[in-house]
Amino acid sequence: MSGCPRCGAPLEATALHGLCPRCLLEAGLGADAATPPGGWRPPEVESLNALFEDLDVVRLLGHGGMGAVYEARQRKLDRRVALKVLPPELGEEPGFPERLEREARTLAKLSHGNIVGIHDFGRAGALHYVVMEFVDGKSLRQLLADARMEPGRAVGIALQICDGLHYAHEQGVIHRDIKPENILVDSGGRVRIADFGLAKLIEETKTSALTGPHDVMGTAHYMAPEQLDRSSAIDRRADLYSLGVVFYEMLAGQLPIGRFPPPSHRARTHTHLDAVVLALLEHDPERRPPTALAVRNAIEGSAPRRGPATAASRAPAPPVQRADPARRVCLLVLVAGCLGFAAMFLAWGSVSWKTLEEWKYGKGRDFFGDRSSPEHPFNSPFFESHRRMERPFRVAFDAWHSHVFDMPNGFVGIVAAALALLAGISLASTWRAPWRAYGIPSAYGLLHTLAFLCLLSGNGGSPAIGSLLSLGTFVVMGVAALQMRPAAARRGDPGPAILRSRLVRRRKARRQVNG
Amino acid sequence: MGFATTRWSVVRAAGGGSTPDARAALETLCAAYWYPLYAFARRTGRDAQEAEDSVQEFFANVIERNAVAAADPGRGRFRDFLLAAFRNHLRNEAESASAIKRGGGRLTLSLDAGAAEGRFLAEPRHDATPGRLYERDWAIAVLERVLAGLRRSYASAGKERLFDVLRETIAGGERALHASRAEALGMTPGALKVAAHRLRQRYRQALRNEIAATLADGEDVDDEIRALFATLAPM
Repeated sequence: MSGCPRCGAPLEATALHGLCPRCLLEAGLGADAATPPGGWRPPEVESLNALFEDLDVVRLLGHGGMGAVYEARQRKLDRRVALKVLPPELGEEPGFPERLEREARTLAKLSHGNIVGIHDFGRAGALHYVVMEFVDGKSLRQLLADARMEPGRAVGIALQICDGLHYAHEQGVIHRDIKPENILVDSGGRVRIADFGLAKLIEETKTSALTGPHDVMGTAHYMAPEQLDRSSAIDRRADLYSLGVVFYEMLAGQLPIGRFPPPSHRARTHTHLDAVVLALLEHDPERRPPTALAVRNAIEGSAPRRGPATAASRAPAPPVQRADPARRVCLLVLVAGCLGFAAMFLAWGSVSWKTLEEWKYGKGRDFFGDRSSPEHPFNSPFFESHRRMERPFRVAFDAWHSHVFDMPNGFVGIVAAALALLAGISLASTWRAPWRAYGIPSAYGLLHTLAFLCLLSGNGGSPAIGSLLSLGTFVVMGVAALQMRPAAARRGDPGPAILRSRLVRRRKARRQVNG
Repeated sequence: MGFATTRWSVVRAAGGGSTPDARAALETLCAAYWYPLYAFARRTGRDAQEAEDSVQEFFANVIERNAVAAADPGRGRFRDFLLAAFRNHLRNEAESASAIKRGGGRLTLSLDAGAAEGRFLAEPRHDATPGRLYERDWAIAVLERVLAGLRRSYASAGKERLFDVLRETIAGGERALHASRAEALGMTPGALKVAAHRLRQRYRQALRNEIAATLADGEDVDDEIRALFATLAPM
């Protein structure tokens, strides 16, 4: 299967000596054999010369439903121009001259290296015309018909179309009829987009004579779905769809019709372009790239740097890593745990040693009954052994507490609480910076566990329970660390701001010491 | 090509094959357009031999039994008539065949696994229906016939090579008009261009005549061309 050089439809080689049946049928249209398809015969060069004083019309370059284009020379300025004569039916429509004027003024403001500029427009006799820059080269349609396009060249052309389109879109002008016929490539390889806005002008006019086969058939393949059903307002993304069709055709040599494969399946092109082309061809405008600039960046960004890669690994614009639910739960557990520790430390710290001793070993009645009674759980053999076991820790803690630092008990609790809060904050900051999941929380976890063990044992808690809790903390930390991907670590993430600033401060201090 | 007599409108006006002229015209038309019918039969689940038999028998029926007279006058075009009549024919054929199999038309359950299987096999392979593909084949048959007729008439004037070179210019290609081609034909590029223009004109006339031959009186050739064009839309 190859494409018809004229209309681009896929051809079956078996029938008609490889001629395109659609074009053959079209050639039979029209009652008068001399009348070209479309029902309108472009004026002769001589008759145009009589109409335009300042122009020497040289030859007819081509014609279609949107008018006829002639090569001409402007005598005064001695430059080559292209003269576009619009179909006379258009001019008969009420309000057309005003619309043409409005449109031409908008288009005259478009000045860009990839857009064919407008010199003049007006009316001569019964004909409306537009004088444009002359582009000495070929249309993309001709280039596609001449030879198979190299992928590199296709990318170059697509990038230039993006530039021109983005510029026009930023000026608020939508082309509406991007197709290979309207993409001109001059002899220097520069791409020029022609016929900006003419589609809109003609669509608005909706002359019945113009809804002949040429208008609809020729360009329907390049139109965005929302353009075809005419139900919704179109925006710049319609042009991007058409660009997608053109790009696909350049790469694959065929139109993307029906259930089409990615370009790389049809031709030897790099798979990295598939995602870009397929995104442009999305049926829903919302899913297309938002601007031509984004397309340009996607094309450039997806260029292979280390040789061809798979389509999957070369998807455009890697999506922001979203925290998955499991990871989120882990982080919540960690943060809640830290806050819990903080609250606990605060509570323990604020209660005086004596009160604690009294709570645990004092006399009197409590929930379980009389403390002095051997029935009370605290006087059970289990708690007796427990108390024996923790005695050394209590002694050590007592010593550290009251003799070494000579600080009130509450202070230690407050310091521990502050550490726990710091840990919570740092954990919260790891939300989007996964590598810290390994280092910082583990370090804080260790710290917390030590402090916790210390306090617990010192205050008469069971070292066994303390170890169990610390083990649990480590398990939670480990799970959290596994849930987080250390991708940011490879990218050289500097770490949480708190630590960073501390590091910087330390470095500064060292420099001052050295200096 | 005797277009004056081999016209569908002539056949219709004569109420089928009742006059020798109309009968000859019908035969010509049928002979010209057997392939789309054959392809249709193949696509509706018949093998090559069966399809050929069906088409042969169908034409014999149409021409002998004066089926045209019974044709629905609403169906103006030969193309539509032929498909409708052929569908009928295939249905009758299938009915009589199954009647023989079942042993003489005794009432059977309408849940027929064989029929379901047949229907499954007959499912089109694309999302196109056999009917649509028939129209597509029809369009191509028309074009092939026109091109073959043109080539014959060029050949009778000894200009086969010229035709073969210029064939691709009919559909609007200009590459064939390269100077090297003219040289090879012993013509100037200007003369080749003129020849291409003439071929285009002759082609247009021949295509319009050919299509007009399959239409009833008062139908528009351009409409039929557009209809055929639509059937050729990529699927």
